[in-house]
Amino acid sequence: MVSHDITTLESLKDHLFSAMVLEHATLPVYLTALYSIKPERNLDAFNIIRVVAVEEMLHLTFAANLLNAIGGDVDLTKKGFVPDYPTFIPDSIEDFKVHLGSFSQDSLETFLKIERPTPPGSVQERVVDRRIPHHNWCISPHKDGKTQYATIGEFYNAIKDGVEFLEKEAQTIGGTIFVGNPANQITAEFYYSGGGKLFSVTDLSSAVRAINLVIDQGEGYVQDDKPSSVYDQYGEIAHFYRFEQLKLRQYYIQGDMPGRPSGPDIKIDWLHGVYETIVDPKVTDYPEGSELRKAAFDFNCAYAEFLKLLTRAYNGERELLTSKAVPAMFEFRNLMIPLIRNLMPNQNGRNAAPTFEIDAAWDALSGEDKF
Amino acid sequence: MEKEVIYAKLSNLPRDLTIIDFQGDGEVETYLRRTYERFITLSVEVTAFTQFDLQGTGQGKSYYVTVSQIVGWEIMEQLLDTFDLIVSEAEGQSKSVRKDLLYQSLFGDEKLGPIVRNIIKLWFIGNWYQLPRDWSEKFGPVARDVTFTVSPAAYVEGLLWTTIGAHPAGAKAQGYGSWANKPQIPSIHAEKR
Repeated sequence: MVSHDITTLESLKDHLFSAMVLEHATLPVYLTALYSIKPERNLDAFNIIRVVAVEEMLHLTFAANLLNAIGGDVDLTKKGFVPDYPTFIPDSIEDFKVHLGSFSQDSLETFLKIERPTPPGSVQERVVDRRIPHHNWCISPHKDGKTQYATIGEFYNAIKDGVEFLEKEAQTIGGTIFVGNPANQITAEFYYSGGGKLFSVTDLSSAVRAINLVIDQGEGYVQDDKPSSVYDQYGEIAHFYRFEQLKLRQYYIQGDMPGRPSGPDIKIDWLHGVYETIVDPKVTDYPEGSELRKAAFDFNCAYAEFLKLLTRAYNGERELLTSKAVPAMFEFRNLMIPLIRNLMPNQNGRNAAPTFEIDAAWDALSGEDKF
Repeated sequence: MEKEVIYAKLSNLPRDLTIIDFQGDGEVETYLRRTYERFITLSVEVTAFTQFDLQGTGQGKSYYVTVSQIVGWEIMEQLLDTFDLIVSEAEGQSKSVRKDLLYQSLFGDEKLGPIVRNIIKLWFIGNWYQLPRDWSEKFGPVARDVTFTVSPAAYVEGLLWTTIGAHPAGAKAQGYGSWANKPQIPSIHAEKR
């Protein structure tokens, strides 16, 4: 019997906000890698990373639906929503840092770690004692304040248990935890995306379905405690196996077992197909008064505005998702790419990259600090 | 190393321009890096876009090599030398003096003028346009001098799209429904310089 990690509604809200932070935290990482790929080069890698990034947006939206369903505060403009890179992600084997940087063999290894399925039976404890200070983690620590969830999967399992426990508790006195405004739920007609359709979270069964979808799309489909196929029941391939194709240089096809793809070959040109950027850049790395610095700063402000738009879209103005947020995403693509193509002074031929220092952008936008 | 030796080595550069990275400490790489920087300075002057914008297209090296391969490395260097001379002559003088010098010595030059105009067209449209017949008759026909699009990316990255606040048809889509929004024409950077 697992002792419950989440026993109050407040704690569940914190965890779900944390889930939004986590699902979003991979987006800057994947986008930087994606746009570091040179035009017309590494098309296989480009397409694979793009699909995963789009699905992370879907997961973020599911997390927002879950938090909205229980009447939580869905606010992507809160300080700390975007982590300071590098950020830590828990893993059953070894915790690891996630960096912002161009597509490389190292970054591919990190992507695999982010999405790796937990080997069945490998997790003995839901939480473990970590030596790394908590403020570097992109998900909230366990309620005891000392330990950390062993894996992302365990983090979501704790949420699932918490939802079930709290809903049953509420029902015994004739209530429910699903008191959020249904008009805030983002459904398929407000958002288009591959890999699973959005649906409303309004009760226990839809909540559990949403959490399972997020876990399955990341780690892969596990049946009887064994990965049975790289494809899930909808014929979708999990993120881990999508990335593994790039490592093994071969596409999976229906029927393939994990680790043994038998589809067409994949070629990757590491040398000439990618703009190599500096890693974990900060605005202050760019020379004062330079166009680079201004572009990096402008990008952060544009991204902050994008988070503001998403927040409005998740709080009732659902039509903003396609009318404004999607065009804004394409707009910041056009701000990221020129940065990634510009040479960084005195960095051995490495290029610049966006810094995603969004907290600093909020300060500047509110006039507290001017660059 | 003698210039002729460098030019000879440059003529063996790969035709696949996307793999040219100008890295390394060899004399040819060093030469390429240095002259490429000068090519960008010239391009900033004649396109009125900033260095950041031009590098942001990712096309600079490919344009530089395209022009040099067509007109020859020697003529390219002559063009850059002439531009440098104008810049140093115009230093400390009014804007109109600089403009006059550019018109007289560069755009008005029968050998260099058509090339500079072609460099502007390259940045804006991504196409190399065949040089005028007068030019070829006087300075000799050059290999590969036919009108062509440098690469699919060159079309997409043309400065013309930014200039008119639109996106290239078939690429850089702005997302579902964005066609309902007004075009956003950016301010002209040159005015700020």
